[in-house]
Amino acid sequence: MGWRRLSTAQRDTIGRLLPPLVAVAIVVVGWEFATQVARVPALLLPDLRDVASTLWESRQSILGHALVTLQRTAVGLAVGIIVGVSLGLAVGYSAIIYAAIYPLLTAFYCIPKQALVPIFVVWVGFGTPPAIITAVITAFFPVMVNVATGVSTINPDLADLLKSFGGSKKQIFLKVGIPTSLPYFFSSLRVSGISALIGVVVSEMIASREGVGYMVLMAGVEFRTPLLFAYVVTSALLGIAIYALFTVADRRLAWWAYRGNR
Amino acid sequence: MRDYIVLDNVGFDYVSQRGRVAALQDAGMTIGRGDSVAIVGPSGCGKSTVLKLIAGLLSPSAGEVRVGGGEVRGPLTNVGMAFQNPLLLPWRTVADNVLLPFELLPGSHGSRRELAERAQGLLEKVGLRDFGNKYPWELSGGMQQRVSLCRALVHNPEILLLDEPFGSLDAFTRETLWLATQDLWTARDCTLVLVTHDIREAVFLSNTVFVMSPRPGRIVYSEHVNFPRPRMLAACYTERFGEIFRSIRRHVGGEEVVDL
Repeated sequence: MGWRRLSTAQRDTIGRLLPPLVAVAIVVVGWEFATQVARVPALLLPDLRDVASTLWESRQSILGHALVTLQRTAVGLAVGIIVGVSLGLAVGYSAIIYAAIYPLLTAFYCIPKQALVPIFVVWVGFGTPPAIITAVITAFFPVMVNVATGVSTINPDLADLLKSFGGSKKQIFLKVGIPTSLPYFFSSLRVSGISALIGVVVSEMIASREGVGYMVLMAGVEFRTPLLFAYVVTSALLGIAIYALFTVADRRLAWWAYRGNR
Repeated sequence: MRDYIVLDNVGFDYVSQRGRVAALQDAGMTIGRGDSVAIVGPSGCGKSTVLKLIAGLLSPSAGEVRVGGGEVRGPLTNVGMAFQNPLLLPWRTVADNVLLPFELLPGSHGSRRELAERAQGLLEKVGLRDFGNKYPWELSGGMQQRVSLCRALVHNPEILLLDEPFGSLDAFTRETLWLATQDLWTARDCTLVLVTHDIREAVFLSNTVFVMSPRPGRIVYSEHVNFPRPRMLAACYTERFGEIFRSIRRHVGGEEVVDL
């Protein structure tokens, strides 16, 4: 075949892109099979073309709701990152603070967010505020854990070395602990970003009149399955976009972790 | 000063959940200022503990550690250390790694330019003249270890403590680094204490070799090495070197290996 005439770089690119494209193709083929051949009812699984045409026809409305969700996610994520980094640094620096708040935070994080949204609504009202708060509480935890781990994971010989050069605990924390935690921090952003999105969508399903979560709920309640699936696809695309954004940022900003002997 | 570094009947216990383990017991040694000594012994005999005691990173459970006539009560600021793992910070260039001690030591140490020149001078001395701007992962293990040595000396410490610094390197790189270490020590007025399990390395680099017993460690033997300096690698293959080597080897491991 023409395989041999390709350069190594071209082969690498194909090797990278082919598997995911094949996986998507398999999903598409499976979907078509289910709807056209196995004749699964449209209420359960709409035709792929219906979903696609709904996506196209309602694109204005979809974009509007997606933008709302995205804005709420961005704000919630930003605040969540600040909270997560602050708590992570505090917990990583002081064993006392760690002992005091870490178990409580873990317990709090395990509470299903759906249960908390009504509480937020009572406190701050309907719509955007509870969505942002839910995003914050879902997003901060991975960041906190990763930052705390990064800051406190220091080779004991290195700690000895720095002490022998006269380094104080604070200096070691600032000069070594924080840079060490950066790769961990950036890799937590991906998870944290997705978590924030999920938090917003959950809140929108319970207490909002706009946004992807709200539309998913409405379309489901009205049995408008193609529209429902269109919004599900939209939320998936938002998730992928966030994931891709942070993956690129991670590679760029914590570059030394990928070139070193870690 | 003949008793610049003194271990006076020192004992040290490691306390863990499984109880106390005596790493050192009645360990005593005297090191003169400006001298170069080595400590050899089997694994786990407490050699690294001795270095940490001298540096003030650990406090003895019994006895006293004295440096420069005074008891060591906390981390000393006139020591430089290097370990088996070069432990360079990967987000900093080689030159910035070498200058790290100046950022940690209290007080001001000179202008940025002077410090940069000092770092560059050391790098040149170990053959890394053009590597100041590179990052640690661009260097081989042997080169990283040379950077680690430069870092240990950049602040002109009076004591240089090396804990099996060449243990992770191949034999050829090790010999190159012996020469580099000898050059660095000769150019400065510092006291070198080298911990190693390689007796050839100990004999080549030092004037006195101490042998430690297995745990709990004590000094059981010492041998003077009076080859003239600067020593060449060829010295390692002389009869006299072999005699000294065998003499030391007999005492390592807690039993006399008689038939050498």
